[in-house]
Amino acid sequence: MSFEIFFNGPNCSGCWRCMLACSFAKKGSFNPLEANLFVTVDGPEAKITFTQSCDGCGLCADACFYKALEKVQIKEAS
Amino acid sequence: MGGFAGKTLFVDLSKGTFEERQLPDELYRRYLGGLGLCIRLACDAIAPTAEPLSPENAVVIGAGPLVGTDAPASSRVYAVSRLAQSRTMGWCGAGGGRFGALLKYAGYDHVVITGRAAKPVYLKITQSAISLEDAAGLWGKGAHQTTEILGRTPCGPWGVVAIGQAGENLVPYSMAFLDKASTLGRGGLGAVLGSKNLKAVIASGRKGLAVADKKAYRAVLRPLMNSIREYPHLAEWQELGLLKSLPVVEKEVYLAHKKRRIACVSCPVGDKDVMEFPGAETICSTSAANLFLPIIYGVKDPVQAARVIALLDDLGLDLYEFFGALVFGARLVDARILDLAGGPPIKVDSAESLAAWAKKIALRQGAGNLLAGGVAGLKDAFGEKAGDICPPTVKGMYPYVGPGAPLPWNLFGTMELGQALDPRGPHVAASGSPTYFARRPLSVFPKHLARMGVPEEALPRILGPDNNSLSVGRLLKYSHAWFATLGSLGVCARAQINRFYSHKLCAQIYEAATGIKTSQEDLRRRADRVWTLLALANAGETGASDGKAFQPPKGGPGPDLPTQWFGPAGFKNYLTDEPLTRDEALTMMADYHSEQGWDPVTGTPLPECLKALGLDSSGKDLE
Repeated sequence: MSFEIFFNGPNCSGCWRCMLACSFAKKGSFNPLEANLFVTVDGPEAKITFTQSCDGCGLCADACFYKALEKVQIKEAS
Repeated sequence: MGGFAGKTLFVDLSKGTFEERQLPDELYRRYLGGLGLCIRLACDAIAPTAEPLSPENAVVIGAGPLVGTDAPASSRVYAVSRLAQSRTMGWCGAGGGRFGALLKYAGYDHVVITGRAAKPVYLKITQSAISLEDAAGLWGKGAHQTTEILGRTPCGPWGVVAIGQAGENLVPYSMAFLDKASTLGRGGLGAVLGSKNLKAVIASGRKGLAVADKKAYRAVLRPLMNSIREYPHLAEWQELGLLKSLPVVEKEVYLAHKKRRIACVSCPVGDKDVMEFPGAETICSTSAANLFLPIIYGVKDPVQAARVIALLDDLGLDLYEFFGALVFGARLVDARILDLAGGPPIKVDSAESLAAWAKKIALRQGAGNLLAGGVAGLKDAFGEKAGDICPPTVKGMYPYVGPGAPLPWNLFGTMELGQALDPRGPHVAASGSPTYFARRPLSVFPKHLARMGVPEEALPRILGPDNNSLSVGRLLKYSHAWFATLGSLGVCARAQINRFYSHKLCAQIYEAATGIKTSQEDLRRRADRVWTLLALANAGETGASDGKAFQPPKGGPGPDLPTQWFGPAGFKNYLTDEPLTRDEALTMMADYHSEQGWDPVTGTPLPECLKALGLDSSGKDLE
């Protein structure tokens, strides 16, 4: 089953759990600035950037407790 | 070792020099890291004769082995120094924001700061360079404004610890703020940093942080994550933060202004906020319960209340001591003892008055200079004339939990007794103790005590042979040990998160993350070593861990416990709801010291206790 990762910016708390999970899984150590995504929260504003290395594995969404990142299923063409 | 960044940075502000050291592995093992190692390093760096605001005092800032990992709520940052208000060597803790993680990603677990810079500076820490930068342009600015400016330094993100004008002007109850949303330093850490001409510390880095045994780390964390996800009140805590337990304002009012929940790095139960008010004004709160605190004092408009707290935060003032000083100041004016020297009337229910006096205190203008002494300073100045109108103080600080305090919890549990027995002085740190919540039945205590790591053999001493009594003093010993454990690992001590951790889990995570073999018994011994060393550090100066030698129950004048704690309007016994008596409190203090293995009368650690912990009487390591 395939999915897309949906970013719900207003829910993001800036906790970096997504970046921690990604870097630990992909780079072998906790290193948010080397993760395949980067989240910035500046007051009311929140932004997310996925690097080209992102393989869409969804670990970032699995790590999120705030429903800021969610895996949304894609209906596949039959 | 995993979990640790590996280096400790020593900064001499007087000489403008830096030195990196790799501490012996044994030191990490003995003191766990984080808070524990902060205390060890502070004991080594601060002479017993060092005055809080002298160059000889040191500030040790550190983050534990889990900080920077994804262990839930493991972002805690500690500072240890000789504090301005209590004059004891005390700890200051902050949720941590992202400062702790970024300090570790820069390669450092701890920073030891000594001396005094010749002019205002800020310390810049990265993985490739350490520097002291000119802070002339920041001096005179608020803590939040300073954080915003330094946060825009290129090559970020940056974690920022900053002081406001109150710290610059050595107000004894000034604090440092960490990433705008965490307080660091009830007791006057702001003044200590101000005395060193150190406006801020900023850190950034991109070194990875490894754990020793990935597989074991994941296996230990999995059930912890699941238990948090399945917690039925998680969404409510996330929505309301501390307002869930301290509803100082209606939920609807709060939600109307809340723009975003802010969490420290790795925390699933964040309790900081970005709030928006009319005119697109944005305020970052340490917690909503703090932000609306002036409502408790009679300020009716929640927006005005929040603006007062935002101002206090920016100035870098401890809001609880501020309110204590203003309440006392108003009473002194009414009694015609204090002359405000042309200043505006003190009205704690008026946002305008509160804001005016906050600025005067932080800048030490007019009568604000007197109020800058806090409750204890006013007592020193007018105490003899003031008599009954003096608010309580403990170790030179306003105890903000208890009868007549802003948090009027009246049952005398471990946190309440801890206000008198923590060398630091009054603070709120529940440390997982079941007495944090009122009227819990004793039947649930064994489960909570097991979670905190209380050994089975201690249960009869705490709960009686039939589980039908409660020794608050003996329980506090284990509450402090649990706090020292969490703090040394880097886990938040707040009730809404530490409820998910257990002592057994902590031993397992610590071992998996660091690679240091650790049983629960090892963890207990190391936490006891940390807390006993802190007691020793203060015993040398003051004669006892509570700041002054105290007398045994029913004998002599006893320690400086506030008279307001006793009598019909004072604290109540946690179990019986009967008014707490002074003798009961003294017995609890003696029990606490006995359970620690310290002299029940003086609170000085006894030789057998020191030997078991591998310390000598001066606090040096024996092993």
